Amino acid sequence: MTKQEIQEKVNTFMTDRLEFEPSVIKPEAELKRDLGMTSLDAVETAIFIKRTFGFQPERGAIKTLVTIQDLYDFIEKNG
Amino acid sequence: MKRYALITGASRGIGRAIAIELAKDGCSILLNYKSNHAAAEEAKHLIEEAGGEAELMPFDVSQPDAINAALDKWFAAHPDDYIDVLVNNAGIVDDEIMLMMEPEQWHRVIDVNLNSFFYCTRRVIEGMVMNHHGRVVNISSISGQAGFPGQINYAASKSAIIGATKSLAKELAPKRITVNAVAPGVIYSDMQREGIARGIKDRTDEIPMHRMGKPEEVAYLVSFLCSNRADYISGQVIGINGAVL
Repeated sequence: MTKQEIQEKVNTFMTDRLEFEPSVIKPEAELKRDLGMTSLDAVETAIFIKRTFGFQPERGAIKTLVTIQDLYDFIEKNG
Repeated sequence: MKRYALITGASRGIGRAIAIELAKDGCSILLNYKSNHAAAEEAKHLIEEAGGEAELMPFDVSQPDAINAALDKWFAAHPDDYIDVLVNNAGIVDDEIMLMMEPEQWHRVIDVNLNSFFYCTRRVIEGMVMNHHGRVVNISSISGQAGFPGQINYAASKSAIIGATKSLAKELAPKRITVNAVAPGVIYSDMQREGIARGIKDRTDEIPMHRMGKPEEVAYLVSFLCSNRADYISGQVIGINGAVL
């Protein structure tokens, strides 16, 4: 999967499933501070990654990521 | 898309009545039981007779490995489905006053009645979270609300379920998943019949309505809580006890 495809899938997930405002979805946006990502959102993100990209993030791994760019990189590196 | 409902301890009594009622509501029933295969088959037959459908899902709710194995198998066979309704009903009693109660009696009741809630629910709510919809109904008891002598193990397990219900309801509310507890009083169920047969006092005369409740009456309440009419009801403990409490 290309970088662009990863970004598109993540962005769609964030707006459609986590219901974050599209205007705040930027690579430098911070997951907690700018988007308000909760622990439950992080769990949902981990399940989304497992189903979409075929690998299971370790428990708590998503919560260590700071920005959306970190999330893109995490998927690219592990996917 | 089918709406799947897992009911633990559904071969007899209140669990069976709930399974039948939810099947009438259109749910496809995953009917859990531990070992009474004949009773489970009978429950399945009753569900089918009522126009519903059910599949048997035997596992011991006190064994986390057994829970995971059964659910892993089901999820593997249903990759596009999830379980939208979970009724944590399986429960046992093992009554004794505290000074006579063996540690094994304490642990066994806690394992079956309380720890099963943790392991079953944790496994099932993943699908609910992803689908932003779900219903968890935990069967507590008036014993957990009021306490009864000889039931410290049972009362502790059923009281703990209430606290867990309230916490989990708050955790899952953002994903539109409701979590409630139902606290039956004296219900004319297999558990009650067996207790009376063992010599436990029949307390019908202490019930303001002068009768025991019926398993079906508990099932109607669970059915309502699982319906879309109950979207805004979460974190509640609803008694069904003939005005005892």
